[in-house]
Amino acid sequence: MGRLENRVAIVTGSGRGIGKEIARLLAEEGASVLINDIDGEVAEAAAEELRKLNVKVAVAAGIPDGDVTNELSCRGMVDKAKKELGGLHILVNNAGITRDKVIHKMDYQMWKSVLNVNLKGVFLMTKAVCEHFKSQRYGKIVNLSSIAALGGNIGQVNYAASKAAVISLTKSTAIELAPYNVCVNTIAPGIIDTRLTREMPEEKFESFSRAIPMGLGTPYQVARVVLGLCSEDFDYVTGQLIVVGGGLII
Amino acid sequence: MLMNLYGIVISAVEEWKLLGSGSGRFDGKTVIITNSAGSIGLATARLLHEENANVVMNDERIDVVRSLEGKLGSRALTTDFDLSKAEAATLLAQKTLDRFKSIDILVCNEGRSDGKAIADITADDWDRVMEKNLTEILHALQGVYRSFRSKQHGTVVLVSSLAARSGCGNMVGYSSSMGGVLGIMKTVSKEWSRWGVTCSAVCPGPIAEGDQGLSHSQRGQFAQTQVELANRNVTAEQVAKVILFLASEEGRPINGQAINLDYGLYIYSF
Repeated sequence: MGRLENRVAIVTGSGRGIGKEIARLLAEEGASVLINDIDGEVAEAAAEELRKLNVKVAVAAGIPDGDVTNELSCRGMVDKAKKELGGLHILVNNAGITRDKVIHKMDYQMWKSVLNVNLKGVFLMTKAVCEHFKSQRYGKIVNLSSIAALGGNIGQVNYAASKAAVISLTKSTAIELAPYNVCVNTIAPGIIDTRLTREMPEEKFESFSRAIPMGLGTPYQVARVVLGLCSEDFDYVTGQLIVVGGGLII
Repeated sequence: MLMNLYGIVISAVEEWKLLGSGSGRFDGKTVIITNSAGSIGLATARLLHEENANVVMNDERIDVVRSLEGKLGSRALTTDFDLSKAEAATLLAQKTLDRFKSIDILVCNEGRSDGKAIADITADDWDRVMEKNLTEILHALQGVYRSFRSKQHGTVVLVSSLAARSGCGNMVGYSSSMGGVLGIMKTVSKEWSRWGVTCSAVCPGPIAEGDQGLSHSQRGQFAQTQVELANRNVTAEQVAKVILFLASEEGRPINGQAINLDYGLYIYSF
């Protein structure tokens, strides 16, 4: 029997990369999963893989259904999980984008789109689940931040601001929801081998990779920590930040 | 509250009039302070002015900033640009250069509070807090960028909050935005160090007076402690003094750092 039998999870941005791996690990432990992604095709493909694990899977993808920056869509995802998967216990806020440019060249749209997805998306999804979690007096929320929040990163003032804000959002939400037995934590992945990090200039990617004492991270290594936070093992842990960075920041 | 603020501003003006024009740590330096009608902004402006800086105070609270016009000496300039617009930040920098010929220090003091639980804050509330507390800083930075880069020298001090470090119930928008301020600070310190620009932040705990920070009744959300020292509220002037240090030559080795100013309140949250 898996550690998450009879649990239902929403994982945002789970069509590919770290989100997809998180969805897979949760499903392997018996959780039913709602796959969300702005890209409908990758979401369907990820869902198809999960169905092979004999768990219930739902999909909310594309615009508007899969848009975490749209409040109605966020509520729709929660309703869909409850209706099609029989409840909701876990929310993993993983959806994130980058629009890199040094600050003096960053236009408002680049700034706004990153803050909308990476920060407002976390807020809207959290708001959408919190009444349900409070009423059932149980819930696990895991938010994905980044080491860019802790150390900054050249060309990522928007991304670093959004991810640093997620850390504070996590703490405030944890304070508000702790009396209802809802745990809210955040992880800050280091340099992980995903499509997003591969978009970096190769030279920069290589130099970052060389700087990590334990080498480049994998989505699986990150997803394992998220799985732990969603499990009973972490029922008394809330408001915390865990850096999953292979020793990059100590 | 506006009248109360007006009173603080006027008393500060009267105090300035009594000051002489001796030398200070900021002789010939020009500072732009955003959201300067707030208690921390006002105290920072006053202390920098005392130390001979040229002080540009921007604030949209038009009644307050207009009341200062004509009452300050030649080393002060008040403006009310809406920094949610990038063009306004460019104009603020230009107006500063027209008047004082240089920009040396930028202090961003944004701090709109939402005061709502996560279940109650609307998407529009959220956007307003982020526009005020984060986007305005982005624009202010973009406004001074050319000047700092051409001089190969500059200092940025951002006012964040203890709420960024510890979180705060019923203030999820505010605390998130203050966390975002730290993300901006760290990135700017990395991007602009090569041009001799430092960027750091202060994280004040509850403020004893004025319109910024957290009320005394909210401090219980941070920590329960009977220790007298940790129960003190920091004053706007104490915060301003640390901002001055960070902006001074003595503070120059400090870059990319956030300093808590809370009498140790944060450590009692452990």
